[in-house]
Amino acid sequence: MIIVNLIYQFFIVLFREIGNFSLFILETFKWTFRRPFRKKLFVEQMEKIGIETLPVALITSAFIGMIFIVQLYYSLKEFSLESVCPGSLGLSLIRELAPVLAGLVMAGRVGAAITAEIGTMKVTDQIDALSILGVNPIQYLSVPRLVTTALAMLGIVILANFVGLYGGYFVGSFVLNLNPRSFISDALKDLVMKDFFASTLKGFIFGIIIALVGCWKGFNVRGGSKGVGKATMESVVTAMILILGADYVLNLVIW
Amino acid sequence: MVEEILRVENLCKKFEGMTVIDNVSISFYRGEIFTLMGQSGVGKSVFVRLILGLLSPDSGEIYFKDKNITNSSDREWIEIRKKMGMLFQNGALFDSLTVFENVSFLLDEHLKITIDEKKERVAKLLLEVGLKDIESLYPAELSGGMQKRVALARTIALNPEVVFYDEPITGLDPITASVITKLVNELNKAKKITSIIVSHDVKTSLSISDRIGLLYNGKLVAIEDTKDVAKCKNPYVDQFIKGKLTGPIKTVMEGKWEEK
Ligand SMILES: Nc1ncnc2c1ncn2[C@@H]1O[C@H](COP(=O)(O)OP(=O)(O)OP(=O)(O)O)[C@@H](O)[C@H]1O
Ligand SMILES: [Mg+2]
Repeated sequence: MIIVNLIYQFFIVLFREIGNFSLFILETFKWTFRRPFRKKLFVEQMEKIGIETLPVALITSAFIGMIFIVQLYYSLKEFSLESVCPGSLGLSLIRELAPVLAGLVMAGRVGAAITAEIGTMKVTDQIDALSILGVNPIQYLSVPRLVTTALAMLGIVILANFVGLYGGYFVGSFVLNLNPRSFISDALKDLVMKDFFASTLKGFIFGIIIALVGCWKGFNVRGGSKGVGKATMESVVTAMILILGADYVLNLVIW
Repeated sequence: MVEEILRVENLCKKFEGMTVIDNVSISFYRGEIFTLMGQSGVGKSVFVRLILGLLSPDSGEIYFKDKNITNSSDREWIEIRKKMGMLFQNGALFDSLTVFENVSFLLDEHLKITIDEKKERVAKLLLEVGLKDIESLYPAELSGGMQKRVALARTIALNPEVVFYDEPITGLDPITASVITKLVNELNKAKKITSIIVSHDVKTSLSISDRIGLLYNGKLVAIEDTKDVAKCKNPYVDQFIKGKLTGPIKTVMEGKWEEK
């Protein structure tokens, strides 16, 4: 009986959370298209989110390209299939690895920062102060973060694709004995426009997920600074799971 | 002649089955200083948040200048809140913004003025709360008393008609507390700001308020003119003001975690 009750409780909480989150998403989208447009806030977030996270996202992606080509090389060499290495790298990197890993890294970097910042504002009454000063907190805080995170992710994924590819290229041609002349063209030859489009679309959607989860968790912090820490952790975990789930769904839809 | 500015009718609020505000009705009058007293955790802050729309009541109505504002839309609240301000217990300054940006927040959001006009107005507002040349500092670089003053300057930037003060002097040293009290009083007199204060400090409250109210067990058990308090027969008021251990107010707090 206790087990049944626990499971029952779990689903109640789960559905309530999903309901609340959905309302929050609707609210954020609603305020995205309302005046006033506060340019200053967008510029500020762009600097924070785009520029501060670009290095870590790109380093990650370079290493992924470098590591993955090594793995591919030694697995495929056994079958004397080294020549398909660049092609495999290109496919997996652009379709999957670059957007998903950039998403996971950004969830840890940006999602956590968003939750911690908004959560701190929440526990120190700054969110209520915004309301009292006649400003909608969702519009003031969520909207700029949503828009900039989504755009930043889009840009980061495009760059991550190239950096990952060239990471693979350098290791492939200078460490392993792959043909440097044809590496890049081989890597791209099986890819079509749709793949590039899907790759950036994934980045964009993951960005939306990171920002929405980050803001939502921040706005719902309870229980002082301890609560902020807990919410930050939850924000990262939730965003990661949702990114992987969304990735799965997108793969079904796109290909 | 007293003009009613704010009226609350039959306000109720529960949190997870625990009644915090139980059928409270009261009118506030233009220009008065009203102090709401009551023990810690009795629901004073919740009451203020309900009136300001930061929490929504389970039932009951709120009228501002005879207009029912209980179920106002987001946009209507934006307009209403230009006329009402609140000073939070900890100031609630935006810690990523400078003092200048904090104080000019309302001006930025709701007025179209040049940067020079803005600088002038911010300096004037800061002067009104007794501060000077601190525009470029961040809240973390100020003392608690200074933060409260900056928060006050931010609150009155658009000349609100009503200001709520949530425990404006709690946790301040006696001198700083006197300074803030004096400011509240001055703003009330000079700008005709209706002031609704939440406070535990009996002495200060009696000295500056026109009326006091006592909240106990979710109900407003007393509303008294301050000048009548000394000869007031209300047992709740008598007990609270004198800090007695015996009387109608229970001193053992019952939490909902207690076993039934
Ligand atoms: N958002 C909330 N969710 C659940 N319970 C709440 C919430 N806000 C307040 N409460 C509860 O309502 C009761 C009244 O809280 P409130 O903050 O209004 O007390 P207070 O009179 O202002 O006390 P203090 O003098 O300590 O500030 C408390 O028991 C508190 O736990
Ligand atoms: Mg309080």
